Amino acid sequence: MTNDDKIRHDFKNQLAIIRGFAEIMIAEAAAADPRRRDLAEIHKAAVTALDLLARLFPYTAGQGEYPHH
Amino acid sequence: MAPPSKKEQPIAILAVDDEPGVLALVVRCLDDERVTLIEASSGKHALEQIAKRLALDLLITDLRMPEMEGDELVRQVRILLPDLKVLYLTSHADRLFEAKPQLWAEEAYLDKPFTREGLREAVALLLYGRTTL
Repeated sequence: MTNDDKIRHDFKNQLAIIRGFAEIMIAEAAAADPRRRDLAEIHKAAVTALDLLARLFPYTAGQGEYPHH
Repeated sequence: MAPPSKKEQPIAILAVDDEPGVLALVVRCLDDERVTLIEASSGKHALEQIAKRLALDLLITDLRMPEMEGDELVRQVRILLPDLKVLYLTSHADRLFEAKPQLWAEEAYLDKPFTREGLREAVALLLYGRTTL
């Protein structure tokens, strides 16, 4: 894995964390909670960003090792 | 008296990821009174945790980690716990199969990013062969 691949990997992780926690908060928010719409926007933005990332940087197999710190 | 059903039994899970936010998400997704979740931030840390506590039901590990990758961690864990169930978390399943062409019967993988339901279902399938914890 090149350094650019590691940055993409780490960036994807951050978006996945945002998406994952937003999903949980939406599921746990009461139906009448006005923050549900805000959370839904955060969730939608994270999903869209993950999709854009996948389209910008499609994975190519066989890119070697994870860079060691 | 009948033994407790599997549903009532406590579950001990070791989760390993070098990204603290992903680890926190795994913990949150598996938040359940029956689940004891031990966290490790690296393969080395995971091996230290296992040396302290051999009674584990499941290892959940990121595949790509610096210093020790997930498949190498599992290879070392299997020396101590040959039958331990393992769930790999990976952004690229093809990389998993490059490193490990064949999964063991007690192993599975889940694509990242994962949903809470997806993770809980994968854990339930590995532990109980059903889709709910």
